Order: sequence, then structure tokens, then C-alpha cells
Amino acid sequence: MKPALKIATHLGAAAVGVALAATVLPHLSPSGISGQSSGDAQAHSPAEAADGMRGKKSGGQRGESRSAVFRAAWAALAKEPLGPQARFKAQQKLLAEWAQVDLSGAIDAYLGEAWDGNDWQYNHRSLGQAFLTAFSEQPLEAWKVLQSNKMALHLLGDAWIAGVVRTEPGLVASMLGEIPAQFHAQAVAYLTSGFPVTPEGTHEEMIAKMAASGTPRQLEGWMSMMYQNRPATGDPALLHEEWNALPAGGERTRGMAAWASALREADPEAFAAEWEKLAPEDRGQASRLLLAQVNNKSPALLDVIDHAIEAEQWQALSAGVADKLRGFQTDRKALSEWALELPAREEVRGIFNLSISERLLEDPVSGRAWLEQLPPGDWHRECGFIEMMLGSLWVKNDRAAAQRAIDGITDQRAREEAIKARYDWQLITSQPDVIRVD
Amino acid sequence: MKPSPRLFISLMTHGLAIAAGWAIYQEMGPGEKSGAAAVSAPASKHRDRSSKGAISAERILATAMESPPLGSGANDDAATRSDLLRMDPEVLGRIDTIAVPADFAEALDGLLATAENPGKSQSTSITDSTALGYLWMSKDPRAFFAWLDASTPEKRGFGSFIARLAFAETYRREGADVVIPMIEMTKTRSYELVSHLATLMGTAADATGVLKLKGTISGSSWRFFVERMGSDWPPGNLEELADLAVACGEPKLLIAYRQGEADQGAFLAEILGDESLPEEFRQKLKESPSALQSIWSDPRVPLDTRLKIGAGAAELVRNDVNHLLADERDWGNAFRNGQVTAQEVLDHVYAGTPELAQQEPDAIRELVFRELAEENPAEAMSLLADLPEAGRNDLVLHTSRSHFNDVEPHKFLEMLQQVPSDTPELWEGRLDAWNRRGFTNHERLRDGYVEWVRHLPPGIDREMGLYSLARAVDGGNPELAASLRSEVTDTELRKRISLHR
Repeated sequence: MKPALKIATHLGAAAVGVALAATVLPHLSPSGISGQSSGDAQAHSPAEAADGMRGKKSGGQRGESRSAVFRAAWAALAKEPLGPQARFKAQQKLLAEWAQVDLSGAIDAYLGEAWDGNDWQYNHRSLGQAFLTAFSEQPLEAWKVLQSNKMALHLLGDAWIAGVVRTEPGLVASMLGEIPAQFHAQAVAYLTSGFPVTPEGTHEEMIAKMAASGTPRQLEGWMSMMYQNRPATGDPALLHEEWNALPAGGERTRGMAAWASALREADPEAFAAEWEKLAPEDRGQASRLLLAQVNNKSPALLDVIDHAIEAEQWQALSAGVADKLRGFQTDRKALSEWALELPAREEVRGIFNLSISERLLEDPVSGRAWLEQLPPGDWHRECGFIEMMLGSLWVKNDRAAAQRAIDGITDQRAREEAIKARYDWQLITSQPDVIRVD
Repeated sequence: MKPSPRLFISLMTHGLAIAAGWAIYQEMGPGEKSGAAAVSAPASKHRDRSSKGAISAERILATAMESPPLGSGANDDAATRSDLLRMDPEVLGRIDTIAVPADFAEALDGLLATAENPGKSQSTSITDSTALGYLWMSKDPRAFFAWLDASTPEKRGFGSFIARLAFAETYRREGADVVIPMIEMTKTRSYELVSHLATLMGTAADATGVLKLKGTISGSSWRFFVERMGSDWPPGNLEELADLAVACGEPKLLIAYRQGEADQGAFLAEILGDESLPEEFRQKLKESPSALQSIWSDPRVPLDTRLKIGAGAAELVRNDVNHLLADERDWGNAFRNGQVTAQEVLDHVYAGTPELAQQEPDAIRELVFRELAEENPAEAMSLLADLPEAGRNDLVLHTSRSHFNDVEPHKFLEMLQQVPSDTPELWEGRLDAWNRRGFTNHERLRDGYVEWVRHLPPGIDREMGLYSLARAVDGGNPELAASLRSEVTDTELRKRISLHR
């Protein structure tokens, strides 16, 4: 151990001794206990609590000056020659204390730190956990502070949810509609499948509050997220009868989501039988909910995609559906033939790529011949060669094969796209001798 | 391989320091004590915020820094894992007093329903159900795990909680023989149990238990176990762990031992070179990609040792630079805050890997530049002062494309502002950088990024920022994309927009 570090660790140990004594001794002496309660009384004054959070108003003079002290401590901390872990922990403690006095000031300091963090553990996102207590104690005031700085809102929205859901899950549920969409899956998981003993009640109550806070389309997304976290249970035919009898609204959407999740493991015949029962006006919503529920183990995955295409649910088709084809157990040749029937649209490009990629990688010679029999300029042919080039580079690291794939492209725009994608690969993988053009 | 006597001395002196701290607290005046109390109390509204003693920046800083130098992250994590496997005294007391029900499942379901029901005493329900879970597991583990496997999603989290504590307590009281068969009694929790057992056996240095476990669980569960257990093994019993790893033929037990520690590579290199260990065992260690990666990435291991086990020079540069920038000091952060210059950081890296610095000085300089550029782009440029202008511009544009992922948008802008855009190549490179960041920044910062781009001062960066952001949002929000495009005035970019590029 270096001498400086040794001194620091001994000083630290002494400080731990002080801290231990400070924790234990007041509980053992009557004066310590009475001092604690008088502090409680002051801290419970709502006006002071709010001033503490804002640190700006007249009553917050003390908060402001204390915030200045924290700012000075923060600046002094930056001068300490600490390792990443020690720095991170000290920053986290300081921010947590500072947030109690002046949340805005603490958030500004947080935003002044590197937003990425090279360490997987001690990074900016983890540093945001310092605000959990402040967020859980003053959720609405904290929300106002976050809303006043949109960057902060997007960087700390998940910490706000994680903090508030511990003490006021009902508040998170009733505000879900105004929480940025990228945090919804996290919030829905907490509210509908987390630890069941919530201070405010059951998952059902959370769902009712969520339903009241969002648009019908938002609720549909949340119900999809909720059932994605649950096993496929129930009889689809019975579930269909139940939701079909309900009027349009949240309950019907929820019932339909439960039905879609019950079909997750259905075979194509059973799925087709259920699909046939649907009224035409329900097919759009049904296909969106089904797309959300199926996964790479769903026997009817391709049928669900086909029906979503029929129902023209382009946005839903472009949102992560392609990834469900990874690990999907089927004959790769049949899958690639199926892909030729996909419409020539950008929204299904990912689905097309993943449907043909393995065939092209397994046998590039016959794969090439298969693409070449398509008419020049055909969307499937041109996209197929681009996919072939990407596979050659990303999977096989084979520049010559990538060049041969580019040579197979006939459309000028597709060729430009391929060359750009090759350049990206070189850049991202730090290749030597970068080829910029053909 | 033996524990150093210095460790014991160090532990003793740290213990004395803690005692001194205790004494200091007792000698403090009331005002000082309130400040010290703030040191230890968790941030909570129940704390005395008025802080009668004057609070100073020095004290706050001392408070914040008090614990970091004491423990390593790995030990902290191990302590947390171990704590999670310990019952509260209240639950332990309840085990001895609670009435044993005729039907455990019915009693537990009833308690869980109470726990879910607001207004009832939830903590009592949790205490009682954990105590009942333990008793049920002791009497009829098969029935307990069947109940657990069949639990509804609502009860799943709580069921795991009960199972975890009951399993750990059973291990402590009854030993490995009793808990090992339980792993195969559950269809859904076997990995959870294996993970708990890794922590329990590791913390207790239970070599006998580990040897009993080997061969009684599935291959995948065993692999899962050996990847975890070593990290919880106490530092004083390393020789015993080495013997156990050899007996099991599992180098992973040793790989995990220093997992996450800065000296893991040097430790494993020492194991590799320890001829008292069987050749076959060391060969197996040599074939482990994670062990090799760890050895390559530790600059303390001599260069020729690392090259001999298959590391490439480029990889070693990357590993050493990253390692040395985050050793005993966070050099990136110090540079960001103006505490050290870019040259001082580079000198530190050169000194930390002298052999590599001799062989690859330019590659190291380039990589240090890339890392520091994300912290303070303008100041990092001093590292490129000796490069010809064209090479410097190329490197800056390359860095702004290959790095700056998840970095503050204004730092990225500052990087780009270090290069002109007066040739077609530089202009294209700049646009490519914007296109990359437009997508990733919008993914993370959404309307915060939209607002930032719209508020950029007029000029080529605002034009490219709008253009690239429009491309990024086109799929999900075509209206916003159209609105952003309508703000673009640059002739070339407008031409591209009209060509749908």
C-alpha cells in the first residue's frame, strides 16, 4: 500500500469510528434521542421541506447558503486524487446529501460529470442513484425540477421512478402518461409484477391508476408490457369471449392483451382458428397486441407477422419484431422463401434481413444464386445483397466476400447504402486500411 | 500464495483508528456531534436538517470521502450479497415461537394475502411468513418448493424472498448435506438456489460442501456455481481455495477470486507460473478466454508474458491505456476538472507501461487523446500539436465518429469545432459524425436533444444537427422530422433532403 493511501485509509477508519459512534451513541443516551425528535419536527414542516428542495425562495436562504457549501465541497472533491470507485462513492454520498438541501444544485453538479463513464459499474447512470431518497421523499417537487431541464429528465427519469415507486407507487401509476415513453417498460414492470406488498395496494389498483393516466394507445402499450412479463396462461377461446363482450375501453384492451399472451405458445392451427373469429375492426389492435406477445419460441410467429402486414400495422412491425426471429426454430430455406413475400417497405426491412441472413451465411454460393434469380432492381434482391455484405463483414470479417456482395447490387442507391455500411463497419471495428469508396 | 502478515497488521491498525474515531466522537461538543451524526445518518427527512453546528465544505467533503478508501467494490458487493442471506433477529425469534400450522400452504397463502392487503400489519405478515417458510422447508422441502413453483406472478417475488432466507438459514443450521438436494426439488428456482449457495459456501470457505456439491447438480448449474463462488471466498484462505480448485479441476474458482479487482491479471499470471500447481490445471487456466483477457489487460504483467500468451500489440495498447487511466486515480476526471494536463496524463500512461511505451508511443498517444477528448476536447488537442494538419483533422473527425457515444452533446460539438469543414472530405466526415450522434443522442435524450439542436447558434453545425436529427426521428415521428428539415437552410443539405437522402 502506498504511504498516501495508507494515511487516507487510516483517516477513513477514524472517520468510520466517528460515524459509528454518532450512529450508536445517541440511541443510548436520552439527550441524543430528544435531539433527534426536535429535528424530526422541523424536517416535517412542509414549507421548509419545499424550500429545501428549491433552495431559492426567501425561506430558503439557509438552503441557499448550505447549497453553496455543498458546491464548494463538490469543487474540492474534484481536486482529490481519487480512483474511479472512491470518487464515484464520494460523489454519490455528497449528491445524496446535497439533494436534500437543494435538488436543483445537486442535479446541476450531476450534469457536469461525464455522461458516459468508462466503468460498467461506476458510471453516470449509477451516480443518478444518489437521488433515489430525495426523489422518493419529495416526488412532485423533484418532478418539477426534472421537467425544467429536459436533458436531466431523460437522464434521471429512471431514478425518479425507482425512487418514487418505493414509497408512492400509486403516484407513478397515475403519472405514467406524462413520464417519457422510454421509461414505461421499467415503470410497468415495477407496478405490475414487482414485490406485491406495496404501501398503497395491489397491482390491480396500480393498473386502474395507469389506465386513468394515459391515452387508449398508451394503455395498450402498457398492457402489452405487463403481459410480456407474465407466463402465457388461460384459454384463448374463453378470454376472447370475455373481451369481445366488453365495450371499447381500457378493460377490453386489457382483456385482449391477456388473450394475445395466451396465444403466445399456440400452434399455427390453433392461432388461425382464433384469428378467424375476430371482427375486421378488431384486427388492427389484435395484431399489434399479438406482435408484442409472440417471441422466438412462438410457433405462430410468422402467421402473426403476416396478419399484422394484412392489417397494415407498419409502426408496430418496425418496433423490435425482427429481433424475435433470432433463434426462431424453423427451416431457414423456407423462412427465406417466406421473406420474398414481404412487402417492399422499410418498416419490414429488419424482418426481411433476419429471415434471409442465416441462409446466406450458411451457403454463400447458393445464396448468391438465389438472389441473382430475382430481377435486377427488385427490392428483395438489392436488400438481400446488402444483407449478404453485412453478414460477410460482421460475422465473417471477410472483406473480399463483402466486395463480391456489393458487386451483385444493381441499384445505385442500394450500392451507396452498402458502401456507407461497409465504411461504418470499418470505423466501428477500428479496421486498418479503411476503404471509403468502391 | 500465503496471506501476508502485513494484512493482519493493517487490519489491526485500522481497527485502532476506528476506536480512535469512537473516542473522538465522545470528546466532541454538541454542535460538532450533530455534524458527525449527519455523517452517518442515511439521507432522510427524519434527519435534523437545521444542523445546529455550522456545516462546512470541509466537513461535507470529509464525510463523503470517509468510506471509499476503506473497501474495494468487490468486498462491498460480497458483503451485500451475504447480508441478503441473513434473517432479521425478529424472524429468527419467531421461528421458535410461531405455531406450526396443519397446512403450511394455506397458512402462507393467508399471510401473503394479508401482506398484500393495505391497512393490515405488513411487517408482521412478512416476519411470520418467512418464519413459516423456514419451518416448512425444514419439515417438507419438496412440498415447499412445489408451492413456490406454482405461485402466481404476484407472489413470485415474495416467494423468492422467503425461499432465499429459509434456504440460507437451513444451510447455516443443517449444513450442505441438507440443502444440496433441494436444488433439484424446484423446477423454477434452481439457479437462484445455486447462486445463494455460491455466496454461502464462498463466505464460509466451505471446501467440503463444494466437493459434495460437485457431481450432484447438473453441468450447467455447476458451471454457474463455479463462476460465482470464488469471489466470496475470504482472503485469508487462498491456499485452501487453490487446493479446492485443483481438486475440482476448476480454474474458474480462482478466476472468480479476484474478479473485478485491479490486480486480477497479475494474480492469474502468478497462478499460471506457479509450478507447484499441476501442469494440467494450469493448462486449463491458460485456455480460459476470461483469464487470458484479464492477464492481457493488466499492465503489471510483463509485456513478454502477455505477448507469449497470444495478445496482440494493438489490444495491449487499448487494455493498458484504459487500465492506467482508471488506476489509483481517475485520470479522465482529473483532466476534465483541470487538475492535470493532457501531457501529464500521457506521461503517467507511458510510465505505467514502459515497455509498450517504447514500442508503440504514437498508438498510445492517439488512444489517450481519444479518451481525453471526451472530457475536454479543446485541451486534449495539445496531444496532437506535432501532427501535420491533415492527419490531425482526420484523427479528430475519426474520434468524433468512433467515440462520443453517450457523451454530452456540447462536448461532441466542441470536438468538431477543432476542425474546419472547408474541403468535401472534411464536410462529409463532419456530416457523418452528426448522423451518428443524431441517432444515439436522440435515443437517449429525446426532446432534450431536439431542444438543444434547435438552440444551436446559426452555422454549419446547427444545419447538420437539424439534418441528422431529422433522419434519426423520421421513422418514429415523421411530423417532427419534416419540421426539423424545414429549418435547414444549407444548400447542399437541402439538395440531399430533396433527394431523400
